Amino acid sequence: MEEQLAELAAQVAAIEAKGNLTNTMFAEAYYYLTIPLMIIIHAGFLAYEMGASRAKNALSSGVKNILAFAFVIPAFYFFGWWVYWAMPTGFSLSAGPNGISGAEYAGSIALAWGPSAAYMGPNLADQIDGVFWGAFTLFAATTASIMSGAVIERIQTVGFVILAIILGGFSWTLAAAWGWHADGWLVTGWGLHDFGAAGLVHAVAAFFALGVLINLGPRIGKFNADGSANDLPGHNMPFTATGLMLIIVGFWGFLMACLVVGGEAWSWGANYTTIYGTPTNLGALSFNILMSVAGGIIGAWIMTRDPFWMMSGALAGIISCASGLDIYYPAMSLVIAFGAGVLLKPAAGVLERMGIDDAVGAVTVHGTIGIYGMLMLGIVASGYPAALGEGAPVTSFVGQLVGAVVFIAIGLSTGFVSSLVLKMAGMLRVPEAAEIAGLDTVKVPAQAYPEGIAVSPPASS
Amino acid sequence: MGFPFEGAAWAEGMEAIFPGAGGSMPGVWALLGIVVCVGALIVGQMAESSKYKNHK
Repeated sequence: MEEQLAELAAQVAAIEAKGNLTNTMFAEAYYYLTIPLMIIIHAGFLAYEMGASRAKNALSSGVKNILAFAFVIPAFYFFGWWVYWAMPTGFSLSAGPNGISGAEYAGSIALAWGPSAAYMGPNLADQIDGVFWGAFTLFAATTASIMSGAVIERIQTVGFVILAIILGGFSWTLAAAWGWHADGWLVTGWGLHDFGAAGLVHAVAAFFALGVLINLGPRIGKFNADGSANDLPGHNMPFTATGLMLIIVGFWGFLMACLVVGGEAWSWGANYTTIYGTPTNLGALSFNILMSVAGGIIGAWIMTRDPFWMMSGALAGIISCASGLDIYYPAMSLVIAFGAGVLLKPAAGVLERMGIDDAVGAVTVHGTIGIYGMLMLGIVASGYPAALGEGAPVTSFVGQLVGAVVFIAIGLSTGFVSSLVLKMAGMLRVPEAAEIAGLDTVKVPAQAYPEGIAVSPPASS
Repeated sequence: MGFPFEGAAWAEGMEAIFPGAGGSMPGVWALLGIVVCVGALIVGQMAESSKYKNHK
């Protein structure tokens, strides 16, 4: 009998060990697969920007976007990841209540040199840091892509790359540390809830772009002497619309990566949670992402009938609900996203009347709508515990408003100051003659359309 | 540099497995990586500026 019990115990232990290993490998694979999904976001931004550029600038817009991706990755490896773990409690670099923040903690896991280098490379005993870093790196690269579209057709390449490094390696990371970390002071002090990063990715990147646009100025020909605006249509609307659809596909990976998988030593519990440790699941995302896409498209269609704005409406729909995709009721998502779709074009018009030339509407889609989404959560979902455990602060409109103001300030200030420095150094805007000639001719050793663009004659009636 | 463990066989319970793990070489590689990125930006800026000279 005792032998049988011992054998049974051994079998249970073996099954448990296999179960644990399966869970660990699932968690690792889960985040790993979010990475290629998020790279689809970049494929989308690439197509979107090139299509939204005039033919003479199509390739230079693409080169700029590709380089942002290439330089943000090492920037996030060398210092962005450290910023995220070191700064949740603010610039004091002290540890927060959960003990997973501060300079000492960040120095032990997030530096590419010294003892923490063991967690910044292949490590058989660590099956999470690599894939978790990878997912966060793609969040960082997304911020750079958001800014990239706004500044097309007149920004210098290297100047832009430097701005992308600052945004992807520092600005959004600081916002994430403060508002997307269980020790973040906006979470522990104000009950901020921004599950899908409407504010800390989208709004920060958009307001960073706005700060850059103020110093960069509009494209030649965008505004008339009386201040009225001209339309400068891109050369390929189908490319732009397809790019927007790719961005939407990639957002499934982005939002999937916003969950924390359960059952691991680093998890908040046995099941899925948000990054704050509050409970949710993939079903919540499925319901709410689809309904928000639908609401955004319908809202934009009602207002514009324009396929560009309809696809932008889909993106705006997701962003408007991103803060609460983990808890919203699907019909609520539809209504909030519909509001975003309706708001989109009038909000873009306001920016244009202020003399800001945002070539792809990035400030409106990601900034205005991101802030709208954060505030809507404060209106429709106040009172939710913002973190795990007893005594956690609760979500509120005031908390969301404070978070929104902080994110705007981080984005706008860092974008404005860094672009001002580049402007003073002569590294921000291309010369007027180069802009008129077209940037592909000036600096890209390839042609977008060497045989021209074939246009089919209209069908005879 | 090279295989970071004693002997020439994989064993149970290994941790970091990249060349130089546990020593100072990752820091040297990190420094080189940063130099490559900064250097590329400097060279890129010089090349870009020269392209604009004909379009002032």
